[in-house]
Amino acid sequence: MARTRSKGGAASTSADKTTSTTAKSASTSAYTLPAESSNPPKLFVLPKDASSSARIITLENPRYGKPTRYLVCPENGSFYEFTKIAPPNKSTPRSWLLSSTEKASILESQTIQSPELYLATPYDPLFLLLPALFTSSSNLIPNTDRHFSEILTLPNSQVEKALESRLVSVCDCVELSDDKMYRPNDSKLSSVILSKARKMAENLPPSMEEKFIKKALEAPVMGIDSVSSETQSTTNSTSTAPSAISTAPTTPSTSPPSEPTFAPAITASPAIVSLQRLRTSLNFILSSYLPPSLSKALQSSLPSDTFAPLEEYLSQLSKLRAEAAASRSNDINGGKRARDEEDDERLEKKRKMEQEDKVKKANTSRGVKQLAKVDTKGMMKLSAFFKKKA
Amino acid sequence: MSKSQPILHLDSASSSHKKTTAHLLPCKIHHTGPVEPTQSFWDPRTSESSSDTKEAYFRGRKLKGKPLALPEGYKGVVAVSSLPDQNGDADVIDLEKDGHGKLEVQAEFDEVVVWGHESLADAAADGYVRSLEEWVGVAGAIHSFDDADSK
Repeated sequence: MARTRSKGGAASTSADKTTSTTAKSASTSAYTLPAESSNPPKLFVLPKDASSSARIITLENPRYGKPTRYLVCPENGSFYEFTKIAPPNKSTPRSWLLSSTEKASILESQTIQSPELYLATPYDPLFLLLPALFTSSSNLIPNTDRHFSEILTLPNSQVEKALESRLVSVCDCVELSDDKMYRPNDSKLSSVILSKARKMAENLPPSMEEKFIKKALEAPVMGIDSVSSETQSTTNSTSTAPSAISTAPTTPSTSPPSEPTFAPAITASPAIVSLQRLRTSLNFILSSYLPPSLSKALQSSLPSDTFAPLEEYLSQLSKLRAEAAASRSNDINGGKRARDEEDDERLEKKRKMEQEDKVKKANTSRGVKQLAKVDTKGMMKLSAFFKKKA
Repeated sequence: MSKSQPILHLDSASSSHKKTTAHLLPCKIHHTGPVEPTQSFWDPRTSESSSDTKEAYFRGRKLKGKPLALPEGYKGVVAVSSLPDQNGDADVIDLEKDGHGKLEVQAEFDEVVVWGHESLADAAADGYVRSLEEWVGVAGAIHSFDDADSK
């Protein structure tokens, strides 16, 4: 109801508008759409503490080597990266409508066709330095890049200080006469990256937790088949259940001693879960912020036993999954095959009979067929005529 | 490449007082520009069943909206980037040297309303909700560094 009322109001206001502005009388629509703006506005979500002197500059992305936009605030020396938020699927229909909150607002409402939103989040400028410091194919970006040098030379710019402090975190510093020299230190870098990964692992968001931790560590639930299907598969599940129990002591997993028919085969201990979190975070950081060659080198430089318990658990898990998959397919196929074979035989017989019948019918002539219907009771057989007369 | 993308100055002084609300509609509007009067076709209300959802009828369809407050310490901005070759104003001549542009802030917003057809967007399925609620925290965790860290 509310809608119809509002529509009526709209008609009257638009009518007022057309009369007052003497708009094109030829227009058939009640509304006249203003012309599209040639320079579409964009929506940003920016940090509040970025001052008005903040600049958006283009720097080379340390991971991909492509020019990427960053927001830099020279006053506090902080960097921000932009994340473009858009529907995952291009065809998902989404658009922005900006409507003023106050009635007396000066800003008119507008629509924006492209559904993008740019989110500026803090960025550790250390990542910008890494390609120059740790990869062989480097020319020092800060010296060559015009945008970078301009940011550095702005009045009271804190960028250089910020960069230097980040440089110290991954380098050994040597003072030679008046000059400070920095030597990149691999172990310092890996400890910095690891501490970042730890911090991220503590704050893992629910969606990542669900996808990369829960799903990745979930053991197959054994024995659900055995409840629903026949006796055949119960023998199957009892054979797998002991194997699950026997594997349990080797890992520090806490397998609940409840009914074996419903419990997952193995469950991950908190230690393993936190290892998986750490690895997920580490992989994320390595694969989104570090140059590929460097992230590979870092990964191999990690002590090999860092994720050993996790690896052990995962290999068991994959074995169990394979077993579960195999037993399931066996159950399904085995039962089906037995039944199918019987069915097949019966069907085969039936088909043969039908075929024979058909052949017989095809060979008999029309006359014979018609005569077959005649009631021959009380009639003398034809052969009787050819018998010797007694 | 850096030639084609100018350094943009954030220019928010002129219109920092203008407030707007960003509605993410579940439909494609093939128009970018002003649309007035809006009150006639866009009248979102707070839902009667629960106070933190909104309801609106848009072209006869019922939409449900989830208001998303921007994360702590962030502000939303509607901005137009003006490239140096496009503005011929006399007072920006000093900026025009060497590929400088301006990012003119038209309005600010504190809230994004994500609208869905008959249903509410949730964090698992909707990228906007996820980004605003989760990515900010993750990015903070990855990129934060303190002075103890850099010694």
